[in-house]
Amino acid sequence: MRQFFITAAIGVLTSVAFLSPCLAQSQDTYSRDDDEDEEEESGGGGGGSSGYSTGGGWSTYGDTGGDYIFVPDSSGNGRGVVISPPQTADRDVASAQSGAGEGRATRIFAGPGMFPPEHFAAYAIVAFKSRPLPSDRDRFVSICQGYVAAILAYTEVEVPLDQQLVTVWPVSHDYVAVAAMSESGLTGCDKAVDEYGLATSLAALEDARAALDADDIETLQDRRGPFVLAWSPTHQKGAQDALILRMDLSGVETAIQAREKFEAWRDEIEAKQDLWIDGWKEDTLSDTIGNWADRWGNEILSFLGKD
Amino acid sequence: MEWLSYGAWGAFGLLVGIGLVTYASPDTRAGVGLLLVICLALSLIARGVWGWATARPEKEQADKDEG
Repeated sequence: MRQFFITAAIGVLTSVAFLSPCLAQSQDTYSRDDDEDEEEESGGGGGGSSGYSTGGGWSTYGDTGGDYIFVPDSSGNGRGVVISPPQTADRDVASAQSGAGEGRATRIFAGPGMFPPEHFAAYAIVAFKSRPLPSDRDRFVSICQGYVAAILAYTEVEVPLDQQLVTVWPVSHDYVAVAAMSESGLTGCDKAVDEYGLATSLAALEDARAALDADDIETLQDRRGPFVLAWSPTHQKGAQDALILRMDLSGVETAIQAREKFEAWRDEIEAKQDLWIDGWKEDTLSDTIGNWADRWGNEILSFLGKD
Repeated sequence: MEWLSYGAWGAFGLLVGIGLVTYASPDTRAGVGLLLVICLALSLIARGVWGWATARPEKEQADKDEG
């Protein structure tokens, strides 16, 4: 009996040792969140539970250009209506105030001419590191489908644009964005993936590198992405030491996983609009293990099957 | 008896695997299969290592006795 318990302990320890890379990765990734927790507990912040630091709120992303936005016609003919930006002298201040507690998380496919969407209270971007190849296009589509499934389009909510916290999927042309928005999620995603806005995405990643420390830059370089990035305050995009709210979707393989991630993102940015996180969006250990198994399951089992 | 022991350890590994699958909830069958295979393999490896570690001193002792 004693021998059985000893051997059982060895088995469990061996399992833990095998899974330790996942554990270590998860802890490394979110170590900065833990630091922020301590800061928050010591007096900062107003009610956040993990990984948040105070200082500003959602505000407009970028400070140049973007004086209009296309709202696609319901007819789906590819034409859109131009909406003027809010009539305010200082959009950042107005956006930050309106975004504190009333904002809704929304989504939009946006072309280069629609960037940055300054009339929204704030925006984030889904940043891939490359366009899809035939071999990984399905993953891109799955992530897009999860994005569409979890977050309402900005036309679906009955709140003004300047109270919307929009998460942008960049596309290469404005007309593609209009067409993708006018179609249902699944068909819209085909267009949005095939015409992904890589230039906008790479610019966002470059700006993120300017603000992150060496470990986080390494994460951006080593992981395949995509990353969801937002700046605080947004006009600091590209500046050093800017606070960046970010979420790593590298482990996401299926549309269901993507939907869960974007649901969490949506809930978080809606609940914590007056707070900012300087760290990676929290992920759970179970997510890490599940995503890892989904990512490598086919390859490893196929390899074993060949032998 | 040896094989029975391996079978028991394999069953134990599968139980751990089921627990891990329940916890991690992979979305794909391949993900579920991979976790189960890993747990099964680890349990059998652990049994083998344990068997090797415990049997070796006895064998050495037997060799000494023969010598």
